[in-house]
Amino acid sequence: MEKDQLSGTDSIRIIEQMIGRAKEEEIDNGIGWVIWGWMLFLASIINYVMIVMDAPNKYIIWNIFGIAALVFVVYSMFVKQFFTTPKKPRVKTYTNELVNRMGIAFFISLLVMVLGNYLSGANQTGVNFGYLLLLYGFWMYIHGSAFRFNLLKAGAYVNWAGALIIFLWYQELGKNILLVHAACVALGYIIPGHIAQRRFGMANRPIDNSTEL
Amino acid sequence: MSEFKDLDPILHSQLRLAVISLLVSVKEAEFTFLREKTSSTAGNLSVQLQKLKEAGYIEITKQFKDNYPQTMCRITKNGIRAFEEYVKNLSEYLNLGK
Repeated sequence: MEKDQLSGTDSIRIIEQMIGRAKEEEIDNGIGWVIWGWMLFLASIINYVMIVMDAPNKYIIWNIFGIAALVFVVYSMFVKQFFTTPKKPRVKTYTNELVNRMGIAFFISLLVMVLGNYLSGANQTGVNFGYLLLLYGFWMYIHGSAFRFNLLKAGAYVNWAGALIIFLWYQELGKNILLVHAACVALGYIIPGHIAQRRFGMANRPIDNSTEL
Repeated sequence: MSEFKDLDPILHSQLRLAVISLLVSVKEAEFTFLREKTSSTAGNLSVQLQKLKEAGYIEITKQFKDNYPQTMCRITKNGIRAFEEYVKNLSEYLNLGK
């Protein structure tokens, strides 16, 4: 039986230290943002190039994207949590759980929006990209706040600004809406995603075990 | 003044307090996570976890994942209450000491 001679300050130090170490687990690995961001970015650019070249089946890329997105979403929901993979060894935090559920809600909302637009034929003007950017911004802002990742929150503002630009000038923008969409995705998803990946890699180094308990 | 008279003896131990402080911050954690974060040995950690379990402060579930045994720990409602009480008494003690 150990006889601990803990002082009040020792106890406070241990509590603070351990709560701090537990918080280290609430970190975004960035992989999900990078994959999702590049998928959206490439689809937008390919669609734009096909319109400029007046290629047949200009919008076929979105069908391919839709299938790829569905596979990605189902895989990330049931096989691997791309957006909040906790570091090894395994631990479940309340933040991870909440954010995972919010991610599911995001993808369902996205699916309903895209399907609704497609089935109703309301996607003729390209203004629906503005609604998509609004939804991305919503997700980024909450996710960024939960993981204390300010760059993702900044990405949300970029996406909301992009949405506003599309709503105000969608007629003038025409096919350039795709470039606005691609730029917002690059600034909102891809760049923060790569930075998060780097941050996650650094945080995943072995911890300092100098305080033996 | 009698030091720490009111502090829960189960929690007033370095390793057990560390474990409870970790578990109060997460939903559940694997044994290896606790061992890594507390920098403790497996043997000592097992003993202290057992004491916390016997006090009703944590739940321990053993399962297999990918053919490897996995021990998961989770704080109970009693454990949360005891931790809150411990922190309250500790802050009272620290205020008295000033």
